[in-house]
Amino acid sequence: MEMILNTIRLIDYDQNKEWIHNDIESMEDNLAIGFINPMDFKEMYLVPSLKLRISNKYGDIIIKFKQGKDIPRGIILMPISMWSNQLSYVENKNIIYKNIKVQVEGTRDSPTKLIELINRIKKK
Amino acid sequence: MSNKSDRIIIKNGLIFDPLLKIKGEKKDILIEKGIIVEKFSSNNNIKEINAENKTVIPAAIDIHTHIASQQINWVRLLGKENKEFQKNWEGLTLRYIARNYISNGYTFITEANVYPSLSKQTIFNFINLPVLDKAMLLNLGNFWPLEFEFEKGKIDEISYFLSDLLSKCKGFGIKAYNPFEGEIWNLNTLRENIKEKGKLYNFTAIDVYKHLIYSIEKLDLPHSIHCHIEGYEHIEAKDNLNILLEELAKIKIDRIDSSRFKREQICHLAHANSLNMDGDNTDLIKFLNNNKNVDLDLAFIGFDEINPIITSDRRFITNYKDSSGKFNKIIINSNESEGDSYTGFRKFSKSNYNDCILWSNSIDLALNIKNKWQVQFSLNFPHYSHVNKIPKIASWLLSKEARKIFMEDMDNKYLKISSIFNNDNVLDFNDYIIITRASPAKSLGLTKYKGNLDVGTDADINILDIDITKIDSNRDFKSIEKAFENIEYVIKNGNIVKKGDKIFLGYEGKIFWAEGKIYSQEDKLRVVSKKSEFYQKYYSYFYNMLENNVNKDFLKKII
Amino acid sequence: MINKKFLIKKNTEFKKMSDQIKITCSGCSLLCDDIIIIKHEKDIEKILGTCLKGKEKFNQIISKNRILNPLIRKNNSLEKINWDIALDKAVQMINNSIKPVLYGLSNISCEAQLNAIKIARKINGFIDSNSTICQGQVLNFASKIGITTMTLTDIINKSDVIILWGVNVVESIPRLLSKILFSRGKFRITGREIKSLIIVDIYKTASFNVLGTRDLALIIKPDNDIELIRFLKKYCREEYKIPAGGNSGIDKQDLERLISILLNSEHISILTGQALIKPQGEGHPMKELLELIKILNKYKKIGRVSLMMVGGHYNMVGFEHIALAETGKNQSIQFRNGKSVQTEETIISKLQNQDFDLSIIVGTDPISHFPAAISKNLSSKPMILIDNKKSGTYLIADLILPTAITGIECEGLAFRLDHVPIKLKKIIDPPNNILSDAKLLENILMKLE
Ligand code: SF4
Repeated sequence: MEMILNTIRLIDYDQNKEWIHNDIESMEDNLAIGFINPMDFKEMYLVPSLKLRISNKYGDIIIKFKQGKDIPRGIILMPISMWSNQLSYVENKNIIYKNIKVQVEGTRDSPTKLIELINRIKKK
Repeated sequence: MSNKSDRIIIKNGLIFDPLLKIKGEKKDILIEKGIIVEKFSSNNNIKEINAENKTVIPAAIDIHTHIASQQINWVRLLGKENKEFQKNWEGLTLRYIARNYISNGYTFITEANVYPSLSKQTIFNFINLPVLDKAMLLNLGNFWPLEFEFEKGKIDEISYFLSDLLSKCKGFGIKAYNPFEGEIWNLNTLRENIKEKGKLYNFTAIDVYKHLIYSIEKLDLPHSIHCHIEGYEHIEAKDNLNILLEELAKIKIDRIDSSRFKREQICHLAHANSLNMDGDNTDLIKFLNNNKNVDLDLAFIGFDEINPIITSDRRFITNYKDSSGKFNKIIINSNESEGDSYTGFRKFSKSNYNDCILWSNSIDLALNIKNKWQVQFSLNFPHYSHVNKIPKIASWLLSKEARKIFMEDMDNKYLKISSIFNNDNVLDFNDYIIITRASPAKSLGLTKYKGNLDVGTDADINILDIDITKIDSNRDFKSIEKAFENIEYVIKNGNIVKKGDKIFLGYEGKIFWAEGKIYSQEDKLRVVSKKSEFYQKYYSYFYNMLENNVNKDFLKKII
Repeated sequence: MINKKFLIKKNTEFKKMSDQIKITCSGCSLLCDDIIIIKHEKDIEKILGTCLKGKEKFNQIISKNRILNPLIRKNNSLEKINWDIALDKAVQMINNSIKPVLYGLSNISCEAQLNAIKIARKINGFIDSNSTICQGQVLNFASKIGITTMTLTDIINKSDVIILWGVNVVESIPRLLSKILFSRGKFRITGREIKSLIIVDIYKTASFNVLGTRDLALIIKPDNDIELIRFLKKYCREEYKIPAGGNSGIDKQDLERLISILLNSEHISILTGQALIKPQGEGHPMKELLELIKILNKYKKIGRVSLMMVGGHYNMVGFEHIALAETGKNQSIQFRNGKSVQTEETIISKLQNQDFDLSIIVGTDPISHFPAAISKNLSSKPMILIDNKKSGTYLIADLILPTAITGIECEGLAFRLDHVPIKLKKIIDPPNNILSDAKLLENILMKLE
């Protein structure tokens, strides 16, 4: 399904906080995550055990998700992190962090690992 | 660095030192450890500067400038893509400012508009402004923590608090700017005059001026109150000026004492050329000729390609239209309820009647105020003129010839009423040194350190490659202009900071500050603790946050 | 080793007053100066008054992800080195580079920022701060259009209306609303009762939870802010009918209320964030918002409207001010022959076009913040990281130089989000005698000279 991704700052899902205190695992737990409206959840025939594959022409990731009734239909929220930044992009020298068009679908694969993201980035 | 000598002797120069009453005498000047001395302590390592046929004068002092405040950053921001600004002011960086001031013979500047809440920024800039000594005036026009004291006229309380504020912020003096104009938040609402009672506060602007004067004199601060007159550059300023002068005439504080080294004024008027926009300065001149306790600076208009606007005057900015006419590109900033600042750009033009009046008022006042010690030269830099226009401005004051030539293409309507055009008066060179050097030092209370070449003062000196005694300044104004355009030596605390066209920025200047005379520490503590509560109640930070911990090597306390 | 005594113990009794110090938190750009620290000998025993985010900041002292030694990357793993070697290596990397870029700089003191600018000048590099992709953009629009701004004391004492537009301050600047909304002011003596809050956002953020009955919640369609602003601009200038269907997803009734508040309130403070920086369609919502404020201030008979940009990093604003005074520009500064020159480049375009051969990253984590494509480019060239904790960038950098935490382990000046300068104190000594950012950068500068 086509959705709009907004990357945001959340006090409980904060990359800075994760980097300060926790390990890679908790980072994957708390940052590889998205929030969607329960109606979208239904529409995509999701079950709680599934993960989401989010992609656009810039990249793709697999993340866990939670439902939140305050989130508008068609919108997926993610904390700003290395995961969400697989999908953000640059347009006229501006980084586009908000209102990014993405494809979202359920998947049984497990969330993208941090090490994989680092390996994608590394190219010396 | 150009100078590694411990001692310098300037030989055979023609000295002009109005404070010491020396007019063109041949004399040697001896410098040791940055100070002018009578005799060297040793004869080793003496650098000799031959000043034969050259003129030696104290370095210049700016009593009113804007070079280190948040507002200057708004100028830089507004101008960062403005080609004219970049070309003529090169981004107005701190180093650019220092370079230009030094190049024009200055070693001391007074930043004349700092809100206490932002004083840390000024201090940070001061520390990074090379060579120049500097001081800042705290703008207390809208200083609401003193509301109650202003209303009740509690001079003791005000003075104790001012003293503490100055020592926290490392301020030098007090600027009074449109008192409590900020009580009305709407930008289009203007008050008629400074006698009008406040709407939220139970006093008038004139009360604030008055109480501040008494408090400052009680502290015996080096500089008097530094007053901005509301509505400057508009006809309303004349009214406000007269209201203030009337009040000043009633104040009986006598500072005039036997020493000519001490300041005599109890009130300084800022850029007084902008107050009589009808071009008629007779009342002001008369007042000054009869009252020694008021002095003023004249901000000369340099007619630059473009000038930054640096103001906090609401009437000024409400009436200001930029060249686009549609949207005024200005930055309006309200600072912790201590007042607004307004920033923009404009261009002065010789074909604009008002600009001509602004220009000619300075000259009119400079020529016609009898006692030149009541006059100080300024530019309200960068608001009215760039410092690099000083040689030109000097020629307008020293030569009627130069003035006439410059005035030829001025606005016709102005020329018709101009009293300057056919005025043959000029300043002599000594007068010019008074208004640019000795008088500002005296008005700022700095004659112990600056503005003269007495033994024990800072060795801040200019050497001009010209024998002024052999020149008819009226006709030969070009050579005077040239001498000021390339001052041969500028010496600051015994360091040669300019020689020929080389400028050396590798020295640090000091921050001059003052807290005044305190009669009872106990009372002061009581007042400060009461005021700290005000801060705790209404401010976004605690009073102690104002403390500027500056390395003491940078500081010089005057009193 | 990290001293476990730094751990903040629970239920510690109040010590005698002398052990209490009032300090400023550098957890975010609000720089709260009312934080109390209770010290025991050389350690912090208790911290009172911070929000959760601030507490995190203090917990950084003992964080296990703290960097305590200089490190160099060899064969894909990091090795400890001593400071002499580390500084030599840094200087060598800098000297080998022709097109260095410096980036970050908004989580360090003004003194450190100044030294970084001096380094950039010395090595003819390109320097930019996080502000370029955040708060700085508002200033860039302001430099073209003008702006009316205010500071926190103004909002506390004067504002009767606070508008949060596309900014979720409850999560980003946690104590902001308790300072400006839930506070009494000189002219707002009844506090919250007399202050109205309006929130404009595309969804119901945590900040919506503080709304009361007199307040206004406006959920706007994504990318429609510009539509709403244009509508308001038009409405304020001429008689204009509000369409029955509302505008941008906001219904007619709410629009009427919004307009009436805008025109009739005494002191309106608009706080905005990232959301309005991105272009929408052909236009820039931030630019149009600045214009709207101008129009309102021109036509309003009472009161005024001002704007404040809410940035997160504690000294993002500082860089703008230090850079302006030093170079005449607030960001994206290219030095050539020791002078700053006109350039259209920003850190983004520099990285995008791979127009650099060394990056010096100070106090930030671009590898996590930037889109992956940009991070890829960044990681393809040598990188020096100066920071106090591990991060995505740490996993990539070639040379890592740790520093002390400003506001806890060293002092410095910072600018609050409203451009008011605030002093940060030193409370305890840094571990391993590591230097402050300012001192480390000064040492590098001296070595380069
Ligand atoms: S709001 Fe910001 S400055 Fe204040 S305590 Fe929280 S993190 Fe620290």
